[in-house]
Amino acid sequence: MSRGTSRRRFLLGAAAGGAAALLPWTRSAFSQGIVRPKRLVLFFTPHGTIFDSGRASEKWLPTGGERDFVLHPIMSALAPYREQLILTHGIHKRHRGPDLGGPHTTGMPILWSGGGVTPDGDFTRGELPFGWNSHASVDQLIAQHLADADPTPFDSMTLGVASGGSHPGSRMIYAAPGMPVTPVSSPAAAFERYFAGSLPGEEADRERARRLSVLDAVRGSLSDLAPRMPADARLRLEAHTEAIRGLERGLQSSLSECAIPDPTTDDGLGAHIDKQSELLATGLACGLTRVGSIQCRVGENDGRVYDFLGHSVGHHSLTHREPDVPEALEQIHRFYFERFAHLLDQLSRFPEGEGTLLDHTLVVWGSDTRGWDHNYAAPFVFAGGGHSGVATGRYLRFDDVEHNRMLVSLAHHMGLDSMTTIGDGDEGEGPLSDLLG
Amino acid sequence: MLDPAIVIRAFAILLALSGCQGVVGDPVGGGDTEPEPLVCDEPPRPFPVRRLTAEQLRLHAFEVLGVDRAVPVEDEQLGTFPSNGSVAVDTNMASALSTWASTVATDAAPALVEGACSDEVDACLDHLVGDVGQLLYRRPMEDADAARLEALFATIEGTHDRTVAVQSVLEAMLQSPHFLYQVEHEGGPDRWSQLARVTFALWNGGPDAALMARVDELAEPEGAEWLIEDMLDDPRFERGLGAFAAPWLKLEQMDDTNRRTDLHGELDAETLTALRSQAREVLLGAIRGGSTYGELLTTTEVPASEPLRELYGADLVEDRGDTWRIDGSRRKGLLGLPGVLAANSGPESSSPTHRGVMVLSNLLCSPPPAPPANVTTELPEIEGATTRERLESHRDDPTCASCHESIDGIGFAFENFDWFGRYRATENGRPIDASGRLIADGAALEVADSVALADALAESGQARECFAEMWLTYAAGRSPTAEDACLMVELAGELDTPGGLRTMLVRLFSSDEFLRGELSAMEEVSP
Repeated sequence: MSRGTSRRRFLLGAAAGGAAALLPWTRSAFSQGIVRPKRLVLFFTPHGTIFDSGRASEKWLPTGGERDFVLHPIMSALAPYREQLILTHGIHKRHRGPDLGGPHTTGMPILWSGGGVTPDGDFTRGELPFGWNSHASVDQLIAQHLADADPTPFDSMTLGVASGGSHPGSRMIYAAPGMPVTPVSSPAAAFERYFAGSLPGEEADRERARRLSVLDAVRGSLSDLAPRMPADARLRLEAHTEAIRGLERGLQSSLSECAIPDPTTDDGLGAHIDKQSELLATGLACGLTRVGSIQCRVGENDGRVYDFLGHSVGHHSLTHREPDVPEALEQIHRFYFERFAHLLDQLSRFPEGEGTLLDHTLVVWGSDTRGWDHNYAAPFVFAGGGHSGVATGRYLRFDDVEHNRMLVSLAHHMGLDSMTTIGDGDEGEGPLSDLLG
Repeated sequence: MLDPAIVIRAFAILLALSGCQGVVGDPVGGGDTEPEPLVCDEPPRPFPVRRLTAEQLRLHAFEVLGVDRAVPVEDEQLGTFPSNGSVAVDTNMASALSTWASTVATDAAPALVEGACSDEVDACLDHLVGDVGQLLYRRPMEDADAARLEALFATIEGTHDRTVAVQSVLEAMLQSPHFLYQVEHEGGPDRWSQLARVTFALWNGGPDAALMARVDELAEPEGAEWLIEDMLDDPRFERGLGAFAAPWLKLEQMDDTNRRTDLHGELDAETLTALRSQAREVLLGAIRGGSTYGELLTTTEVPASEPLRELYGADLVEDRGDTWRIDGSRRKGLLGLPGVLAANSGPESSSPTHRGVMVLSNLLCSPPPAPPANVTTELPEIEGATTRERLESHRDDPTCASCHESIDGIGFAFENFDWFGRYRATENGRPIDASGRLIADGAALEVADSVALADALAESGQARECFAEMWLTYAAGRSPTAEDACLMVELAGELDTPGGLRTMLVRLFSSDEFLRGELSAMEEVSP
């Protein structure tokens, strides 16, 4: 399938969905408290964990059995949420086709889409050129499904922090083959993207109307020009036109019932990630969307030196020092599990039904690689969703199953139960029946 | 008339992009089969239609509206140079661009309202949509676009006021595809698209009214050459050259405050700027002055740079005021510049690997593959050892040796220079061994140091063709293909003519391939 063809299919689909999505959005389900919709959040941190079963350097797997498991100290930040977690072992990231661009590059598109990069493209890393992703990521497939069935102001909230340039090694969310979704990479930009258009009040209404007039002119100019462009550019301009429609949809309603968050934040990686978690939790609680993601940094050989942890060697170099795990690497993973725990804190702030927003939100942590030896054997942590059908408080051992089936499980959980396979790594066996319970 | 031997070599370079030759005992440059000679009647692969880079958008908006705001959108990282030619603008990117446009428009509107838009609506719109719009779009505005913008103006002036109406029209223009993209129409680039191709490549910004008035000069080969000559002499060419040189020589690695704590912790801002600008100035001088490629690689005259005087130390043998003559037995040419050496170093270490990879990838167009999975790329700590000795550990593992033989062979030749680009005769109290090995043009050559390496590169046909290939890649926004070999060989040939680098650039930017080359493929799209 050529990229052009698949893009066109995506665009036709988006246009059809767009018409429905432009209808005024009602929040009756939320405000009347009848339905507690299921939400999904994907959370990424770079370079896996300290994962090397069978060696003394193991810093990841819990001890104990399915119910009486004991968290490894590296994950101690998650201890308060022990009963809301599912830990897994034996889920493997696989994909067919050539291994282009190196494991950290390929690991990003594979993570949530289950498929690798294409061989046709202008990216270079060493001898063989490669292109963008070959498949859409599961969150976007779910978001597109929900946009048709029950639209919200935003199909998804895709956030990031220091998430790098436009490259397959720094993009994990994909709307379609060859169509990465740019993470909104600062709290200030996230506020502009998801909240600024929804401020309540008369003055805000006037500003919304003005911006809609501006965007209308922009869209007109795009629609005029697209048919006169060469084919590949025409498809990109049509997608750009859809993007403007997306902005217009974000300007349709005011959030009078929602406490607008304050996007100002302290400096530093941790503060920015935590603020993005707060914004995402607020968006989910307010019904802005049901699908979200936070990408912390990038998969592509992330050489960031964690100077605030006192380090002088970059993260990527540290990972390849295994099997002698340096203390510095443990500190990085503790730091990221603390961020993950903070996201769970934020989701727990919002009461919902008999529990909290977290009880209605399935959060999945994943990474580009497993750890020092790549290999795509994937560490995943699942949290939340206990009041929406997820059986939490378990440690599950699988016998070498493809992570594609885990992704299918996420789709089924979110109501996209027509999905039997995703990406190219599985044989269509369907969801992992034991995973979410 | 092209020398068939050169053509064959260029073809071989394009197809055999391997930097991993020269394992001891392996035949060097041993092609399995002799490549066939080129036939120069294949049209080159089309150029992609590109969205402007963040820097180009910033500069163009600044030059037209006088408001300087960074554009918060990341560029596509396409190998050596950024080129936004493959992905579409998604909603998140559109949101960031929208916020940026709003900020710029809000800042720019008051001056317009006090000027051309102070009185009659017609005069205001003539200026706003006519003059300003034409500059922002780099072409006369189409009637339908003008009508839309005028309607927008009327609507907003009705609901808000004149200032907000002006702001809104600017906001719409700054988000228009005519502003954001290098617009090219199906059927081939018109003269405005051609002018934009040249201007964004050479100036990294858009054309002004004076340049737009000269658009018809591009129609004739001689006129195009004159226009490009003038553009090379314009101060704005320094920006375009910076956009080429920073990725080409990897100077931008100096900006990484997180990784390069040595540069950012120990040097003042003035020295850092001087390191960077001196490298650009050497290239600029060589182009404007029409140096040959060999002269660029071996010059012993550099622009004077006070902040670098102490760094050069005894290497500076004669202060000629605007220029310095340096000791050519210690360092020479572009690759001997402290800025190039400092940028291609690790924190507080010389990094023969970084230097070797840069030369292989960007001066010989023979990039080594990424390190294999599951290996550490850190050097072992060995008490009292030299960098060279620590690197030798790469050779213990055959999977590392296959590439590091050719990478480090080049990098070792620069061992006389530390992380800052300072000359050193010893490391850890031991004398430096700067002997290296260069594999180029299908042959291996032992070199005593970086001076000998520079002399060898100055003679290399492969290096000349790579220089042409790098410019073509930068200008076209895509990777080179076999069909580009004919143009490349011709461009490489210009590098030894009296006009040297300058002639090559004039030839490239006035070529039919660049100016009138086809656009991105007419892809078959099935419903």
